[in-house]
Formats: sequence, C-alpha cells, structure tokens
Amino acid sequence: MNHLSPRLLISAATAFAGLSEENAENEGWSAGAAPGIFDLTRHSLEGAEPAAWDAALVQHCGYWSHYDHRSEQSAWPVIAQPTADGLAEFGIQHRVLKEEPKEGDIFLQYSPSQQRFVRAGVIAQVRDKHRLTETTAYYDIHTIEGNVGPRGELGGLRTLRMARRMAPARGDRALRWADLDPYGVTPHSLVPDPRNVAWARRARMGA
Amino acid sequence: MKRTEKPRTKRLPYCPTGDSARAVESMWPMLERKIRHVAEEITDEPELQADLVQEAQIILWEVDPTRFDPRRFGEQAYLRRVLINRMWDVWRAEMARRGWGDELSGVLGD
Repeated sequence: MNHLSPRLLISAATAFAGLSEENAENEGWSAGAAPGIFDLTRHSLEGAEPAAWDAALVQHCGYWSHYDHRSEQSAWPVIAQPTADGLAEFGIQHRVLKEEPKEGDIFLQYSPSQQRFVRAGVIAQVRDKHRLTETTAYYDIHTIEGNVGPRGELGGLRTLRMARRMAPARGDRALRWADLDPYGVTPHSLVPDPRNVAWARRARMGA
Repeated sequence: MKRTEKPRTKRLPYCPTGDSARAVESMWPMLERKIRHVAEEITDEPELQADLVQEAQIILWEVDPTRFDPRRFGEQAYLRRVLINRMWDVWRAEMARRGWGDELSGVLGD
C-alpha cells in the first residue's frame, strides 16, 4: 500500500496540465465515442454533479496517484468533495487547513464576495514569500488547476500550470492532506474502475 | 552500462502555463470608466485624481481579481465598491495630511 506522498499528487496533476474540454472538440472526438477526460474526473465525486470541476480534478489525481494496483485500494485520505468549499470544510474538520502553503498541499482560494472558497488546485511549487504589510504576507506559487482560463479566471475550460498569488490575509488556505492518517478517515472515497466507462458514455449520450 | 543521449531538438515541450497576474489586464477595462468618474467626483485636482485611480489599480492587484467571477451578478459591483472605498480612504488621509481633517469630519459625519 502506498504511503501518502505530495510528490505523487504533484506528478499526477502535472500530467493533466494542458488538457482541456476544448481539446476534445478540436480533435474531432464525437460525443459518446469516448469518455471525456473530465467526465472521468467528475466521476471521482461519486455521482455529484457540480458546476465546476476543479475539486473533481484534485480528487481524481489524489485518488489515482495513491492507488495500489496489488491491493486495489487507494491511500488517498481526502473524502470526495464536489467543491472547493467542501474541501475547506473537510480541512477544518480534520484540522489540516493551513495559512502557510507547502508543495503538494491543495490550494483553496477564497472569495470575499461569495464568502466561500471558489477554487481548488494542487500546489506544485512555493516560489517566494512577500510581505504586503508588517502583518500580512502573500506567497508566489505554482499550482495545477482545472476549470481555469489562461488568466486564472474562474470557469475556464482548461487544466493549467498557473502562476498564482496565495494571500492568507484574503482568506486563502492550503489543505495539508499529507498530515492525515491514510486509514483514519472514513468513509473512504471509492472510485469505480475507470475501465468501466459505460457511465460516461451514457452521460454523454444523455441516457 | 550504455549511456543514452537525449535527441537534440529546438522545439520545447508544450508548457501549458497561465498567469493570474494578467487578470488585472482583463478586469481593469471593465472598471476603469466608473473608477475615473468617481475620482472626478471626489476631487477637482487632476493630480489627486490620478493618485486615486492609481491606488484603485494597486488595490485591484492586491485583492486579486481571479477570486471574483464577473459572470455572476453583483461580483463586479462588489469589487468596484472595494476599490471606491479605498479611494475614499486615500482621499481622507490626504485631507488629514493637509490639516483639513476637522472640517471634513463635519461634512462626512466621521
């Protein structure tokens, strides 16, 4: 069985960078012919149909990066959440929501207007720490995010490696899942074998 | 052990990188007209107006517009309000620096 490793999550998420919902159209894949990559990530949420798929991508990468093929189990300790806000709630419950980011943490961006977390991604690199005032700091980070545009806008169609500013004073947080006990969190998220993609085909066909 | 050499190529791997700092470029045009109008309402002094607009740009960068969703109703208005409040703060500080704070406190009810 795998141990928890931030490196594994970063590697898995990085392999997704560049994939896009647009790509499927560009390549001429017809609807129903093959499951879209983001149908798979959404499926990691066990039936939930969120408007955004950033949290779904994190869950998909986390689960499969920690999957052990011999035991057919994943050590990924985060219970599937359909939204970034759900991940934050999970982090609060398990006391792993941090102000200071570390590589491999899950980045959670806060919106003061909506008063909730609106974005989730994987922190691939913490590049620098800056001070805005004596009491407030921000971090330059690289993240891997889904459902984002090239300028970091919400609701984009891509998965990108994103240069971003994490500002704890503005409410942003990092979910340090590697501090969790891989076998202590229940109920564990179970994702069906991706070889069985009939669900995705049916979803695309509207059946 | 036989060493393998990487084939030399000028073509770099596709690097799908975005930059959230560029969000200011796309958000500012949506806000600029209103912000300049408010600056003109706050003061008649062109130099102070320019300072207020510049302060609004700095605050826009600080708050990071990527945490706002311009497609949602009210998001732009919220962001605009944040910038305008900051402009008023800067103006009050400037008035206080000039020693006009006492007169303004009566006008603004502070």
